[in-house]
Amino acid sequence: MLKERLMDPINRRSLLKGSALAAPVFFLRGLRSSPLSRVFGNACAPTAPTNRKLVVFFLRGGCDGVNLAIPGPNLDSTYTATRGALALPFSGSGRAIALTGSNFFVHPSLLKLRTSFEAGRAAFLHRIGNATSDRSHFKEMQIYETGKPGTTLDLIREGWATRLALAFQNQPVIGGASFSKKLQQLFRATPTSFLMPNLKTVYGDVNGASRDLVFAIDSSGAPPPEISNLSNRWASHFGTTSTVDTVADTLVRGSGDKLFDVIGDLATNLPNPIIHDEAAFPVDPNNIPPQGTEMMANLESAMHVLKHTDCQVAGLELGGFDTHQNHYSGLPHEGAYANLLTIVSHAMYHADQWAISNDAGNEYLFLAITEFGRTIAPNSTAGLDHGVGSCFIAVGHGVKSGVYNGTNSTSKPKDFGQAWDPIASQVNDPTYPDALTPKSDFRVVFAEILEKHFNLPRVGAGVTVDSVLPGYGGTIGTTPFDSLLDFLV
Amino acid sequence: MNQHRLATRAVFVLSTLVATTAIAQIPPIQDYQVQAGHMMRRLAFGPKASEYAAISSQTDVDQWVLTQLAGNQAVPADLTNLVAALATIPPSSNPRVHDWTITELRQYAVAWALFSPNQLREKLTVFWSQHFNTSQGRVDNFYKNKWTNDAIAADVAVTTCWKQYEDFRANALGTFKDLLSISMNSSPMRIYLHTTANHKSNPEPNEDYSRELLELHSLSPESATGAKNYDQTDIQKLARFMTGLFVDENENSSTGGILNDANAHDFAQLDILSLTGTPISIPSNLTMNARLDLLVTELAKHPETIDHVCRRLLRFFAHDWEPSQVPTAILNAMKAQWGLSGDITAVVQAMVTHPKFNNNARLWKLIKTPLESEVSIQRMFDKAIYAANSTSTSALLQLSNRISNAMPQQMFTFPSPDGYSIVSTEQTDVDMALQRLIGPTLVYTGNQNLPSTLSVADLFSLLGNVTINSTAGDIATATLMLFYQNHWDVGNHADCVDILNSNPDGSSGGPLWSDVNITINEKRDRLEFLAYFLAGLTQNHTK
Repeated sequence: MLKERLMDPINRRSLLKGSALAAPVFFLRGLRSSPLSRVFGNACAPTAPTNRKLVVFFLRGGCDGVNLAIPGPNLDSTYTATRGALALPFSGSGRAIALTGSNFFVHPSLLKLRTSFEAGRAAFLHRIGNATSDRSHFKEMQIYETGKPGTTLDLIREGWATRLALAFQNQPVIGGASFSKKLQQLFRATPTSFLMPNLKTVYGDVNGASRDLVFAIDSSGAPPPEISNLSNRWASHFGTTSTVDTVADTLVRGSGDKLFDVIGDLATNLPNPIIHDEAAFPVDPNNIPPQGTEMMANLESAMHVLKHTDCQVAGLELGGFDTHQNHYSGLPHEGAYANLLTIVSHAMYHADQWAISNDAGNEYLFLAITEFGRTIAPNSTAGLDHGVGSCFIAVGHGVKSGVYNGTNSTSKPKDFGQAWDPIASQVNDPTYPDALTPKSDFRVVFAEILEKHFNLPRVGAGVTVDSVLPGYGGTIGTTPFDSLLDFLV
Repeated sequence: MNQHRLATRAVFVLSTLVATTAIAQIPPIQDYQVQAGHMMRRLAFGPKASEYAAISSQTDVDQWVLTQLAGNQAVPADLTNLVAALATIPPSSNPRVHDWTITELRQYAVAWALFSPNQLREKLTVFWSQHFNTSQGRVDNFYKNKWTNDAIAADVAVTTCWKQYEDFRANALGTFKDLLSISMNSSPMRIYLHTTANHKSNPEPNEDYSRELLELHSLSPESATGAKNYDQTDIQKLARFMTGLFVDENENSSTGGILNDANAHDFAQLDILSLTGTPISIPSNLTMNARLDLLVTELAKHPETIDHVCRRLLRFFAHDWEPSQVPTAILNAMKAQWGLSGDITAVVQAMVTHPKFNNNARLWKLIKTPLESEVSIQRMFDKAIYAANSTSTSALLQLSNRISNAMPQQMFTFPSPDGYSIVSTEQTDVDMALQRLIGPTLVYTGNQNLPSTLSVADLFSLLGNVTINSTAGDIATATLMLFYQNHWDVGNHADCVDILNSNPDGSSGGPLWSDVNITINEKRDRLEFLAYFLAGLTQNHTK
């Protein structure tokens, strides 16, 4: 009985409504729109492929793009002098790693991703940015995660991954999920549709062998009493109606509903027990605590949820890229930034390998994004301040290996897109002083994934690129800045 | 009496003293009691039973508000004893040798929130510490990298963060100018936002503090109409101005103080913020300290600063509006009281005495932050920590750990300079919802572990002179007494009887409490749910 109720939120809600007079929910009576109505009441749900998965890695703080994918001497003779102490050498110890078929090199911490690149499964999307960036972490993160630029007055709160989840067939309980300390804005919903769970508690202690489910599920598939008791009470308390339909009321009850539903979905679908697979999700080679350990634990959680439930979008995050100080330590290939890139490379590579080994290599796409890049010249504290353009990384299904927005007359087969401007000239760009000037709007990357990976129409009725990235569908292709990069086949 | 009226008072709004057994004689709740509850939820970390009981008229409510605005009530012995118990050597005696850690620092802040009679001052202290957010971890790393003695480095790091918090508290109801100056002249801020190596000789000074000073601490990036307040050139100019803002790095003597080095300061005239129409100009012919003071003065009275800070205060205390929807009447009333330096008491008074602040009490809603949520539960119950020995810190440790780690509102180590969010939509998600359920459970059981089941004996040992065979009415009375002492009314009692007569999961068809067929487990479940209900799971300020 308990399991049935957990599995069937509609029946549960009907029960609650039917017993409103008897239920101990006296101060919540009345009418309001259900937070689930948007999930179950979408009559014209589109048909995004159900086997396609997307994992977004948000590199928070503003990741430097110049030393991520580095213009080689054939492409940019000004790199070394302009970057100064931060310039990576092209030979000797700590040198940048050449990409076969490209004029670009990558940071030595990205060794594993170079392997993915050589295997035809990794792309570096250079000089991506927001044309109107004011270099504010908080505003730019909101813009990148909601897919809508503008002034503060224009900003919205609903994440674009949330809107994407509306495109999935059958409107699953877990359309997407954030695996992070707090729910990422990418998965935040408007007050009337609280779709996305934060599932950091799927796994418990990340240390040692205790990476089992916190909410251990018994052999009958029922959650333990702790959870069933809590969720039943939550449902009784909040899962009904109210005359006051406000942000706070709806959110609180919405999250309560969602907690109930998500636990039921996980209880049904996740294997029990889940055994930590150290071979598939190893600690990074430099064993960088705590971020590296947390990243791999969250990644393992995410891959299990993506594999065993209808969830199609997962979000992970890695902080610390706001390297105003001590961007490097001693040598340019060492220090905070290098460690963070090691974690990114390690996680994306092993995620892709996991997908391939699970016969899902043609289903998963992994994307690393950041809210802006860094300044080009080092500051007085061996660091870099806020910039504008940066470099995204895409790995996995459909990716056409290459470096995008980095061409010139000497370009090689894996160099694509718009022309590269020497960074010495970008330093003096009056619009974006001391920053990597953006060549492509950040939304073109998302738009290409929506079109090619999830098969959404650009514009039209229902869920489209234009609805997921509000108002952008018709803009795509109108200027070079707004044109797809074609990094996906 | 309509359901909504019942709703607003069901959990948090407490009634006048009544005789335990004379349910029918309980007077109806009064408007001044509704307003008292509202004010105590907004200006304090929730109602405390004894304070609420002392309110017997609208005059009492007004006086309570005025007392909070004055913020000068004596600190009780419970608080000083508890803080003293955190370490054998209080931090003020010698910042280089006390033994506080970040854990004790968090307990200290939670203890103040729990026990301080000056609740508005305490809420504002939290507000300012988030507005001018720093991180103890970064300060700790800074001194450890500079010094050979890690223990002293750690002590100094904690002490400087403690001192900054104390300064925010002392000036929480003072002027914004002083608060901005405290922040600029604190070593945690200089270390956290990297001014400590900015020398005039370096062509590329670190821009971190300059940007956040304009973006977070004073103006914000855009005006209310969406116009940009500054550009990258302003940031670069200000970064050059912010040279020479160091900290005392002498390992043998430093207690974590600041050092303004005029030899490292760029004395060039500063001209910024021309985009706002109210530019700021700092001449070169002043001393370094005078230039910094002038910058603080000019920023504190800048129209965009006034607008930005008043909006944040309004969102913190009233409602989580979208930027374009902030009601201008109350905002303008607050801005009118700002003055030249930002009179925080006058600004907050303008807000809480504005008719809209009171008339819209049931419409303007907030979701409590983890700190607010956990502390308000403790205050409401007068239980757990309140009932504990005031020198025992174990319950305090559990509480502060939950707030910092489980919820998680990482006090003193929040990594991002914008501080913990005051946006309601970020206060709850599936994971947070679970944690918000666990908190009341811990309080209810007095147990550090989430209980899988509660024994009937345990429950009734808490309830006193009732048994499993008592009537629903008697058990409701005993339970209300447990949670609210005498501060409840007939409506609350009827609600509790409803719970005991209903299935906890909301389904219909279950037996009444008096039914001979009801099982002990069913009774236990209903009682357990009653406890949840009374714990006030709704995180809404107005419930």
